[in-house]
Amino acid sequence: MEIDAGDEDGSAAADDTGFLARVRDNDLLHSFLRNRLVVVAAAVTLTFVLLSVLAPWIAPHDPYDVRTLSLLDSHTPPAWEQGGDPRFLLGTDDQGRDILSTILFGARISIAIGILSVLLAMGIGVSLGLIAGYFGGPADTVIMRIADVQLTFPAILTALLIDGVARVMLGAHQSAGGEFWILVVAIGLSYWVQYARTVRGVTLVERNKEYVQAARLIGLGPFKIMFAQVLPNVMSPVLVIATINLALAVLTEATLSFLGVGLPPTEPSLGTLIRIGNNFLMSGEYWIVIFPGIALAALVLAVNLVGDWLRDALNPKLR
Amino acid sequence: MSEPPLVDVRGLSRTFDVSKPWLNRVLEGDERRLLKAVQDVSFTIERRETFALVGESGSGKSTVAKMVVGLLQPTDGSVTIDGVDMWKGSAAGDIKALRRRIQMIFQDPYASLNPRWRVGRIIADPIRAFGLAKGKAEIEHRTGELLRLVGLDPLDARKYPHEFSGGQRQRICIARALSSKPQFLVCDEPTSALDVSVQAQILNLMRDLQDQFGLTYLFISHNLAVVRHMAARIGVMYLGRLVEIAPAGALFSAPQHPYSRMLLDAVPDLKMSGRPRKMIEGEIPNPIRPPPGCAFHPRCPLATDQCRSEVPLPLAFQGRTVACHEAGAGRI
Repeated sequence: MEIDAGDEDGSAAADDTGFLARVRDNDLLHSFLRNRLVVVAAAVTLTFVLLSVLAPWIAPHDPYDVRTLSLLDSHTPPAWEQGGDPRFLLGTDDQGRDILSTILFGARISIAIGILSVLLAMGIGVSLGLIAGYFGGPADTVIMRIADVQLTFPAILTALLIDGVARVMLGAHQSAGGEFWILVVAIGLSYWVQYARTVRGVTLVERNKEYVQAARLIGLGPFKIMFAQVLPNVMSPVLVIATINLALAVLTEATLSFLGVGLPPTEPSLGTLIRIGNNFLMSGEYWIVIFPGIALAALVLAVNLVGDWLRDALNPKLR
Repeated sequence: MSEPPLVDVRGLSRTFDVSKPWLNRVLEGDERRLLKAVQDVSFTIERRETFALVGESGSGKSTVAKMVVGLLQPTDGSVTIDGVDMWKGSAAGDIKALRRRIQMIFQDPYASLNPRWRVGRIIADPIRAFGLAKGKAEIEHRTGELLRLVGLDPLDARKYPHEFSGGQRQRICIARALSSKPQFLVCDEPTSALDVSVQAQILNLMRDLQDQFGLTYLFISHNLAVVRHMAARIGVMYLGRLVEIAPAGALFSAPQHPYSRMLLDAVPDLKMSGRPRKMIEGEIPNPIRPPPGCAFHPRCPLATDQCRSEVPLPLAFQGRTVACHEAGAGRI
């Protein structure tokens, strides 16, 4: 962030406020290390992120490379079952794709969509919340009433609607990566409300503080004050929401894909894999649905635990 | 001295609309409710002078301060500083140049510094906004100078505000106010949030800086001892109006408005001269429905029928201005 830019030179560690000292005395770090569950959850999250980033290099197969696929390998059970193939540790799906590799690539897509849509929701929500809280009056009324209306619909419904509209509008010239970005926008637009409401609340308090008046006094414009002065003071609740929101966004993407409006089977995310596997569940081929399901559940649970801890740790009332 | 006063405030008024929302008014048949926070306030401040406004909570002191520095638009009246009208009919460039020369010191040193900014950046903000120094090194040098000027260490620029005590924070606020090289400082109860032992240090610092830079102060306080220490002339406010303006010495020795008298009688007597200390009687009335006539009449020991019906106009009187029907009648 821009807040510390320019002040962070090498000699900062010389006095008591140096970076190392601040890390050492950091309450947040203490609280983090004291809480085993959170350390494990953070480790799981980090592992998922690392595995998904490195998927193209560490996955045993490339599920997108049709040349390496063979229908003869399809429906292979996991390696430890009878009829299993050591090449496919967790078995294969109906097209002969290695489940382990598709999980890695799928998690990559799920996490990418999750992070991008959270950034979009955060950008929209924080900006609108700052505007509503700082200006008040008609701007506040219009923004918050739109937020209220959107809040009456479940986020998944909003995402479905936006997704549907986008597909119809872009239908004629849909490119290969189109679905990915449609999902990002659909999920991002359905989760901005929470940010806006929180940021507005904090901004209402902050804008009356004297440091904001001091900035107005020297003739700074409202947007400069909002983003340079007020924004750093509203970031901690926003960070908490963003973390919890990341789990929700991943889940929403999986749900949309499971419902068949998300990513196509050729580019499977975790949700798409679960949908494909669902068709074969009754014929006893449990591995196509179970392993991606476990991966999704573990990822969402881990991110959620980190988010919950962050919320408690940053809330001074609970200390 | 023929120099015109630096600050000329004329007929300043501010009304706040505190009515319920439109729909509630229609349904509940309520009237619009207006709060006259400041009414017809006029005063001038000479160059290098300290003018103080005193009064109880809710008397409109801070509202006047906000209008004078340009944070709040007056409903009526004008604020002219060094010949430039702050609110009407001035070129944008003149206003911008004027803003550099006016700064404010706030009441709450805990709320007036952005908690997420380092002190160096806080102090440099006006320097950057007005382009008074170019380049990182020059800004840093200037910030260090300002910190030393207010009795802090230049290395404090790297710290965050929460690492300082209330008095140190107020010093930082003063450094920020001085960073744009202002002529005119508006101080809105600058010491009321501080420990008594620290108050004197801050006040003395402010006086030293006034001598050093030829500053003009508008000093707002409810603490008469502080005002006596700082101000050359004092304006007493009651319920949005100025009831008396007088040189400090004259006001403290012989107040001419019954409200000024009442405030002074309530000051604890440290010299143990045996002067009986009178309690302040009554409370400031509801400004939404002020009493008719002189707003002070319900609490005034001298009130007559005239006071209950006619608003007294400010009249020049023995080198001061007093708004009282009974002033000069020898009864105060």
